[in-house]
Amino acid sequence: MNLEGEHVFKGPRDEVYGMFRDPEVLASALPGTQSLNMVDSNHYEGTMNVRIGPVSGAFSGKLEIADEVAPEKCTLIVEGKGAPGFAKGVGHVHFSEQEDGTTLLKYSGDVQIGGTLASVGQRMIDSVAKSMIKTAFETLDKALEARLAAKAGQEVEFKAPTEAQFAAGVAKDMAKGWTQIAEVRMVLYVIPMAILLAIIGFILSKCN
Amino acid sequence: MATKAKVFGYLPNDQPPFGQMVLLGFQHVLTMFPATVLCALLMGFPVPTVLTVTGLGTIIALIGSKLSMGKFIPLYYGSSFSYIAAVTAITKPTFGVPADPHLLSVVQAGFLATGIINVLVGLLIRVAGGKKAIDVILPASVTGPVACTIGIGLGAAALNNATGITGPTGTANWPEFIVALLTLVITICLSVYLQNKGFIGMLPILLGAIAGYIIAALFGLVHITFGTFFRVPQFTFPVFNDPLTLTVIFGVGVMAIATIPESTAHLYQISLYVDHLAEEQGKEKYGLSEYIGLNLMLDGLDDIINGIFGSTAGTNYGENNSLMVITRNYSGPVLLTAGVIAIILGFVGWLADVVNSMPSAVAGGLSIYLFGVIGMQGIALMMAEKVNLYDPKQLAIGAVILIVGIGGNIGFPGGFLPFPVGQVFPSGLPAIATGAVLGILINLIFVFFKPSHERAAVEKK
Repeated sequence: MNLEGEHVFKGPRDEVYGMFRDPEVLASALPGTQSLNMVDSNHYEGTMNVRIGPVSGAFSGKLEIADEVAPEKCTLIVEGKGAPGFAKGVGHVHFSEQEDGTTLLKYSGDVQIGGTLASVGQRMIDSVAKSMIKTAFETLDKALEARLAAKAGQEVEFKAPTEAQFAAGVAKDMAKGWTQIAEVRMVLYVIPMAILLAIIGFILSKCN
Repeated sequence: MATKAKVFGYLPNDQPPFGQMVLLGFQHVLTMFPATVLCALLMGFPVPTVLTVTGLGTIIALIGSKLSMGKFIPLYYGSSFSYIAAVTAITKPTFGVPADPHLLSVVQAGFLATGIINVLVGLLIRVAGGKKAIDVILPASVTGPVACTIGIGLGAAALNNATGITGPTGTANWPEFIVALLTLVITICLSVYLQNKGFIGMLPILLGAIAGYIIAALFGLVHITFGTFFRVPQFTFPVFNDPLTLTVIFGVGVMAIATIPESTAHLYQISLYVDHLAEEQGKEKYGLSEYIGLNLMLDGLDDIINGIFGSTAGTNYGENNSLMVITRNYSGPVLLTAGVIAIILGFVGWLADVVNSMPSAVAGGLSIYLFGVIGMQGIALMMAEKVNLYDPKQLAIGAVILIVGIGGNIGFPGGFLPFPVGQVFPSGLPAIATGAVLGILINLIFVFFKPSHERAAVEKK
């Protein structure tokens, strides 16, 4: 599965990058993360609870940050496995300063999944992953706001969303995405079309 | 503007200018025409109806792919040869003469069944995890022999047409037999020597039929009468209260297992070429091969449409795939235009008059080749999928399917095995479908009770 996208952070690049490299913030961006321990400055180990639709379970995994050119870019290498299956991925993250003082984050990566997780359906996972990334960015936005405000001497409460809130967010996104799934749309086309044609056929046969 | 040279070709969502749409669409119609018309004539279905309804089916299937996936699956849906044997057992047609409308209605119930099976299998694939599930239940060791049965089981029908006799005691009529033989030889030569000669190389059957028709006219075998130019096709609707209904639903419905692998193979093929063109043009790939389940659902919807309005069960056409690959025109809108043209042609009465006047000897000559090729394709399928023909379990599956299917279809009247089952199968069990189901069951035994030893294939030294 290929993931690609971008996000604009309302803050200078150094701040954004600093936040990105803060394991606590990173952990809060992906709720369900139960622990994230630093092995060394570029290696982390942790566990994460994942609950998406019918699949749930604990994941344990490793995160490696490679090819780091602070504060411009880095490569994330993720490996996790647990009861629901396994996931492996490589992601490239690129930060660039924009003229208006904001920071553009571009990411691209390839994730491979297996086990129950994969059998749920590659394309369903696709929309879940996108939704997770979206929610993560929203959390990071809030964290950044709190960070900048703290620097300016103000207190802004930052509370990471709980696992349940996060799951609810994903579920809501999924429901919106439900009618976007090709199979669902196909069923919504085939069945009414077959019924409609059968009715036309029936009426025509009575006319003969 | 980029200065990169434009790679010519149309991707599925591209729409050429109107003039090209009509011309390219007509080319599609010409490509599907010979096989679709021949199917209709052989099964006893009225040609105009089949043209019109298959055109409609193609349009509805294409719109379905665009609406659900946002991109066209570029396939043309014509009549499938896979159903001929199962259908003629019921319609018992004389070549070129439309069968009794009531019998057509009975058979249509079977087309609805095959359509519903396709839709269900399409859904099931989504749930059960893609092509792997099909490969377990319908491996090439089952589908290959079934294809053989469908083709070779029609051998007697082909020879009857070619020799101008209809029963086992008659003797051949020489003029008919000569016409059939010449048609056969000409068509074979055209198909071999016109390969890679552009568009004309795609029409050996049409050209062979025209040549055979002219020869038959010289022998005085062509009798043609023109009716009105414009005629509304005859639409027949399915009935479900005939004693043979259940026989048909089983006998015809099961033929879905022959078209499912075929349809999937066509999807893979066209997907490969579409992505290749997209890559060359620097555009996003279409990745159509991912949609096996959806493709089968569309195939099923097309069968349902044919079943409702009195045409023959369809399949997406390899002929049109080849045309698209050669011309690099995969445009969905062009295929929609082709569908519209086919619908209109169905209303041209004179076209039907000409087609119906084709002597059975010409069709017989073509059939020897075409039916045989279906059989050969079954063997090709087993070779391509490397079915181990030294393994007794694979041999057993093929052996049962071939003997029950071919033997039953040729050896017993109407292709019914002589085991009438009360109200359900009053004429007996349809041989080809029974053979296919037996093959599937035997395969399933080996799926559930895996043998401990598997004989290795013998490698050629």
